[in-house]
Amino acid sequence: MERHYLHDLAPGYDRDQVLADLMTEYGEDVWNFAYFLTRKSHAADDISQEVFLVVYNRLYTFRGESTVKSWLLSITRNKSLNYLKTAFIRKVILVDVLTNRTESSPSPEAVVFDRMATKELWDCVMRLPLKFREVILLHYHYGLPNKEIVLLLQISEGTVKSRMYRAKNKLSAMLTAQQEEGKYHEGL
Amino acid sequence: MKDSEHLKLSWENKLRERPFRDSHFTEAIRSKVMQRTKLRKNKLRYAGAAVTLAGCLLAAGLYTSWDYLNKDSFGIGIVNQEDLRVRHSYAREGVELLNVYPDPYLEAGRRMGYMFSFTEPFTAFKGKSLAITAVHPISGTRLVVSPAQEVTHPSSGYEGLERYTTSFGLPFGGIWRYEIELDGQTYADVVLSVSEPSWEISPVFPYEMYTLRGKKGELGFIDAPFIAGRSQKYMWHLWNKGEAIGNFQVKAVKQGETKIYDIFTTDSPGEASSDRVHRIPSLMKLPEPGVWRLLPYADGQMVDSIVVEVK
Repeated sequence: MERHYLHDLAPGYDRDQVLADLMTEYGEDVWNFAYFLTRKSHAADDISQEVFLVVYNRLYTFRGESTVKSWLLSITRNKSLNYLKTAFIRKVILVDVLTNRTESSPSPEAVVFDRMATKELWDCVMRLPLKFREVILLHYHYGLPNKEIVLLLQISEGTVKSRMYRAKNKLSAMLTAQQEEGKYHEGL
Repeated sequence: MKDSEHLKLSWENKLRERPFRDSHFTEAIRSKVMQRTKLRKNKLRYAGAAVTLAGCLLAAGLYTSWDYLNKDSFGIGIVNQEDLRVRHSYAREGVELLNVYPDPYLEAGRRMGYMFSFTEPFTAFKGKSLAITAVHPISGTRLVVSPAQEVTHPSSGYEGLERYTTSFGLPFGGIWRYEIELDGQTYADVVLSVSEPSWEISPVFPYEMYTLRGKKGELGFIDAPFIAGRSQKYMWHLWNKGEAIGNFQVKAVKQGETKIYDIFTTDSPGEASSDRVHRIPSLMKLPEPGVWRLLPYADGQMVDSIVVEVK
């Protein structure tokens, strides 16, 4: 992958221009990753904003220890996981205790995957457990090599490989089941 | 088994594409981000305003007295008001060819980054040599700040030279014109206002068993007094990770003047050391008493500068 120009800027450049460039290049990827992890579009709206504000503040300290893409996705992941922790706490403590109601209605913040050819695949990916979902997406969707995933997730290469192996199996199984279901319905 | 294997292959490829037709990272989110960066900046600006105001008054005082102090300006003649107008873009026959994005805190005396955005397609530049000369109209100073380099590839992630970045330092502040030359011909130019850096005498700091004067962790020399007209040995220290340097030069500018003096130069600046610090012995002599700015250049690049008092 070609080296991003951010690696070669000497300190003191115009941050506003660089931030605008980064949002153009990676805004969509950042929003999507926040959505893939939180499954809530409002959360993704907020998180993607927070990510670029953090990037703006830390721009001069980016030393090229990772690619620009991994750096952005890493910040996005941290914010998303934070959101999930606090959302879970809010849900468990506030909803269950105060209203004594079980969470039955589906999230109204889910966004429709509107590309017909891949919709079913993405619906399956979104049903994967979080740890499987993130390795699959970082590798197959965002194209990060294993070494970068290791840095991003702060786990060993061995763990990445085994998690990827189990995630692929799980996803394949889900897709096969989905296909069988489709055939069954067609047959009716 | 064959069917599900085929299925495995296609999902790995299918996942590369984004699942949405349109981007959810909307203009609304984008502008909210830009707005919020301004809010932070304004808070910081108010704090810095008082300091800047004091600095501006000092600089204004220096600037108006420069022409009287600097004998060189009498030989240059009248400088056009137009030559001193700050201009971040260059247009020829109504077509904008160049935009410059300098550091908002652009100042002289240290290496600063510039981003030049060229609008013409890459074919206009490919294979040609690009050089940048900085001109100080008031004093007539001309410095080659970016020596001629062949343009071989477009800006990373772009088709042309939309993000041509370069960095260099200028010896003193004021209005500077940056001339971009292609194959020796002036192609475009921009005019920027470069702040005058602080003339506070650089502090001393301890290193090993010595006292150095300069910027801790960056550069300095073993402190010794400066007597006008007297040569003295000074051991320079450069924190450049011990990288090899081919040429080391020290130039100097006196406070309030624009004349650049060559103080010291060597093409064999000693061995790069193992402890990430480059030590370079030098012999320096400054001609007149007063406050001077020493400008060290490693391989033609200004790193930072050190202010000393000469008695």
